[in-house]
Amino acid sequence: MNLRFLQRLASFFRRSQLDQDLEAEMSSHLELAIEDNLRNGMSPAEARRQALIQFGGAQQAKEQHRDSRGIPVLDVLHQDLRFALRMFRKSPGFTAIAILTLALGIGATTAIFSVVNSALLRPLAYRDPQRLYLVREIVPQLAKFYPTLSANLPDFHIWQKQVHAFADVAIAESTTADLTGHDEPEVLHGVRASANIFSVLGTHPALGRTFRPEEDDSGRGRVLILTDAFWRNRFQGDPSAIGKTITLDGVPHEIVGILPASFPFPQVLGGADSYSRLAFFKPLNGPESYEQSLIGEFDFAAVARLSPGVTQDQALAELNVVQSQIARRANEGVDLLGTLLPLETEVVGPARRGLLFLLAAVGAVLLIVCANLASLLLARVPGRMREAAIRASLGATQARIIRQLLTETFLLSFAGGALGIWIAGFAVKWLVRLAPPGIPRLDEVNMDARVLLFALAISIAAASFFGVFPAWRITRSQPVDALKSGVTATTESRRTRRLRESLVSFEVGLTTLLLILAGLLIASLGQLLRVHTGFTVENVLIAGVDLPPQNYSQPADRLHFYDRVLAGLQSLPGIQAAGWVSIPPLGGEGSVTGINIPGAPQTQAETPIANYRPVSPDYFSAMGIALLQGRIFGPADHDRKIVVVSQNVAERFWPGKNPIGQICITQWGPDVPAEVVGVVGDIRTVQLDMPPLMMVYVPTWFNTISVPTSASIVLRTVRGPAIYAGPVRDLIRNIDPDVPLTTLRPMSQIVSHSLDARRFPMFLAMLFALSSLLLAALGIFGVVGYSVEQRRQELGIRMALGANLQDLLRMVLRQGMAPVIVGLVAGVITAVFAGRLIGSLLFGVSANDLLTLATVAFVVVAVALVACYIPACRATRVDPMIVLRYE
Amino acid sequence: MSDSKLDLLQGTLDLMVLQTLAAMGSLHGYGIARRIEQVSGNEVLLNQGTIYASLVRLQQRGWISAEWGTSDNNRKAKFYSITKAGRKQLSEDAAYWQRLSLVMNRVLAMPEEEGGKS
Amino acid sequence: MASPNGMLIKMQGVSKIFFTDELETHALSAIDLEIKKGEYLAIAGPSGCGKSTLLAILGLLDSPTEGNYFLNGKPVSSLKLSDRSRIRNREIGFIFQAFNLIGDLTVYENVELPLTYRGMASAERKEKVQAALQRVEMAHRSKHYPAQLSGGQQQRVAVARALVGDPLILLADEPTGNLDSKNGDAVMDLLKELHANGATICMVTHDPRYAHHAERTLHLFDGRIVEQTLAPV
Repeated sequence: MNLRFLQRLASFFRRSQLDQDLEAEMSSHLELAIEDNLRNGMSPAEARRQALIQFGGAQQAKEQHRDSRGIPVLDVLHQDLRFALRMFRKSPGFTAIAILTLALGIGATTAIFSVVNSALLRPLAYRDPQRLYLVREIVPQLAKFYPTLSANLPDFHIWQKQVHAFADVAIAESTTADLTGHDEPEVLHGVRASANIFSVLGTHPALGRTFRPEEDDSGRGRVLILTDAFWRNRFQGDPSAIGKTITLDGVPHEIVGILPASFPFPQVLGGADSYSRLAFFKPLNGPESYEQSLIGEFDFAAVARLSPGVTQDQALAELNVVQSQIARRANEGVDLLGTLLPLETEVVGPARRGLLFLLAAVGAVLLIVCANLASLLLARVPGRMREAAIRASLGATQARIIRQLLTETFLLSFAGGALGIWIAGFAVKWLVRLAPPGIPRLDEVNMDARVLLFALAISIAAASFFGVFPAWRITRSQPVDALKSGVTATTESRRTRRLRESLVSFEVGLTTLLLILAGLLIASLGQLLRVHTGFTVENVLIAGVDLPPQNYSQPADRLHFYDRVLAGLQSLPGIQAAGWVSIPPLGGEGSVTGINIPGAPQTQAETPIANYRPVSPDYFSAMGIALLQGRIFGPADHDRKIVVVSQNVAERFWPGKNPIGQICITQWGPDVPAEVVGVVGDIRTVQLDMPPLMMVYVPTWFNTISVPTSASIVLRTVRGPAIYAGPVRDLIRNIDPDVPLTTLRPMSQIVSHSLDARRFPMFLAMLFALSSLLLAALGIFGVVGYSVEQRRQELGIRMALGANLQDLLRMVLRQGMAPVIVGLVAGVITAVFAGRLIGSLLFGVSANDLLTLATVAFVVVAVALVACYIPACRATRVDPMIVLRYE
Repeated sequence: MSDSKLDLLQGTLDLMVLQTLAAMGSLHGYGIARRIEQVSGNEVLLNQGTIYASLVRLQQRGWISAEWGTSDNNRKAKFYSITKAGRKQLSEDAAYWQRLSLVMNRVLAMPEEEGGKS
Repeated sequence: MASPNGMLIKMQGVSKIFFTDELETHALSAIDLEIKKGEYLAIAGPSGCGKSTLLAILGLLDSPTEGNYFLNGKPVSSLKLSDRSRIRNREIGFIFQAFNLIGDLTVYENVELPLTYRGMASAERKEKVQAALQRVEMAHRSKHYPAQLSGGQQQRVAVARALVGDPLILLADEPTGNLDSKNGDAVMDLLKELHANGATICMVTHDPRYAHHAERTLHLFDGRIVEQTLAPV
């Protein structure tokens, strides 16, 4: 059966040769027959005549021969393709627009799909990733503030021994280290992980070896495995890097392995916010002094591989048994539970919704492209009907005519698809380069077979969508009608017009929806930019420093360094204030622990949590954080246990009372009662879209940890802060060339950067929405323009009957705008519902924000009016004399 | 009956061609057509040209093979002969036709019911 | 607003010249023409003689290159576009060879059209439309679309549309051109009846059979009036 098909396929391509063969055979047949007839005594003429009669129709025989040997469908397809190409040559403008808009639509959709594919659909590049789970701990008493916690180091060791449902479990935490010994000191991002991290994930270094179990022990873990990117960058990909030594934080480390290039290490596992920034992995090298207790210091991402045949529930049950034993042993009056989260889901995290939203948005653009093409093709239907009628009168079936039409649409779509894939290739590169770190697994994005299949599928879907309308239109008409002229033809085109108007409504509806959603994202960003930060954004420079532990183990040394920096800055011209803080605003949480007031009824677990920040006294004026009550501590307060708190702390503990002079119990380090001397304004601590956290600012003399090993120098300048970057760098290098700068950026840039994760989807959504608007405008323009062209006679009649130009203009506008208004209303209604789906992407605006809805409605109506107005003007230029002319 | 020729049932021409080739050995298209006409006593209505559609069909199924050669009177012609697979097919089809014709004979021999209920 | 001696239309030395590629075509040359109120005038001539151009100028669809045109005593040859459409709407009723009904509108809506451009209240429109349709015996078809009517019926609807606004003059352009003789006769009878009831009619035709329906026939040849015949009384 298959073989026969192949033969037939082969004969399709050898047609001409086979035809010649048959020709020869037929002529020999006739000669043989003529000879026979001559032998039977016929005259030569009669012999020939009889032979031909006996043979029957030669042409018919050939047709039959072809039908039985070849694939008629292929022959027809071949014809259809040739005809389609001729049609394209006849209207190159239409063809170019069709292919180009399709290519852009399919390209953009494919590009976004590539991102979705790698982020949501493709399994993580680990062995059996579906068996990998993040392990997080739960302290029920803290659940109010921290529903789940990262893992604690000693707990991890217990799990390794006691939770048998885990084939193995590994932990990792993000870390940084100062690389010295080369030219400029540099801060490297790395991961401190248990030695088994690679075996748990199921990977192995591409060069060298993995960590050994004993390297988790104190003092034995001075080894590194480098990422491929760092190795290529620093060692130019030289394999002899294995065995070499580099100095991290003043300690020599031996390089023992290089990771494969394709090894992903997402942020939820303790990776850097962008994988390309990750430089090294190092083993635990024993617990630090503060990592001894069973409760607290929940710092590590823990990832477990479940044993074969064990379900998530079974593993969790066993984990919780072990957790409760740990809690009993710790005996700190708190309970301990655990939870298991599928790694693949966690990696994607909250980005899922945004990505799906973008995919839907770009899909909508493609739909609009298709609707436009359907509309353009429909416009050609009346012309096609005449052609179809002629074909029908020559015996073509309706199915044959529709097949011809579909051949054209599919040809267009595949051409658009092919070009689209090419465009998508660029778009993907562009997306990867511009996208903020928030999009998971961006480094893994590429166009694999699934992406190509997707592009093919949407090309087919697109062709089916925009081809089905004209095809359907043709089936709904009697071909004979097309040959008639006069009134019938008008109603014929009226039906087509209705269909095209519904397509306009559809386009406008989708465009409105996209514009509203994009508008809501823009409004959200606007709200965020207007949000009361609590600190000054302009004219502030942040310089992060990380003091190498080997030279700055003593607080006095660190303080001395900071003092020298501040003193040096005072001598620079144009600096209004300079201070330092352990972690600046938007720098994340840190030093988070309890705060209370004496005699508070709360148990330990219910104690409120605050962020503690050691600061220099001038920090507040440098950062522009307002002093609301009392004063800032100064040198005269030396050794006094005093603090400055944020306003929300004061309101939490002393509502309606004067907070100055009140005592609070700080639980940063040992519990210490401290006197509040000042209250400053609240600030956005972590993200602009997160409400301010409670802040406690402490002076450097507060306790042994109140002089941080890393800090941010904050400069308030008179003019653009960027020009101070050079002098600040020089100053710090002069004071200690071994101190690396972790950041050196204006605060405005940090604020702006913190919004990248929002700005990017907003930008794409806006891009898609505006493309839709443009496409819809073109669609409206086309429909109205075509309708004016079709109705010249009618417009002439109306003029002859006394309609003036305004009447005609109004009429065309009214008829052109009717489907627009229908689409607009439908779009707004849909948006009100759809807005709820993207609620999590919004900030400070509701899904049915009136201002956004009104603005979008206004824009859509204005653009549609312009798109109607241009062709409507043509209506007024119709010469009424047309009514006296007849063809 | 005898004054109108028989229209060929679908598929019967292929069977006739196979049988002719099995009986006569290698033959060209004209020869096959003439032979069928003769054997049928000129009862079969055959446009000789239709034989070629049947020949190419049989060829593609691998039941016959073809080769250009020269006829008795020195004319170039394409000669067809039956293959092994063709003989197998022929015996199957022939058995089928014999069974069918027996059944048809029996069915048609059924006497018409008296005073038929229409 | 009656003009002196009941003269409805007066044309003096009207010429129409088309300029195409350095070529001047004189479609009409120095036409003098008067139509009295209540008159039934035919303009006859072979095709290309300028009949349609003359009708277009009479109907204010076009303006003359030279000469004066007074409609009801007012000069109208050089009016603004909007004034011309107002005059077309109120004072002229057109009947076309190809009927020129609008396919998307019902019979009723077609007849109503000139009145809507006048901004007339709908109750008044309804009364007038129904009266006009009754006059041409098409009231029973008011909900139909033109495509559902025969040619003769369509032309009767077109006549109703022409007279619904009580124009000063009906301009008919080959009104029987697209009709068979039976329907053509019926339409001519209708025009005759309208004339008998006082309508002023100016009809362009090249069909001599129908020209004699008019009281007076102007024969146009090569853009000039070459002869005038009066119908036997």
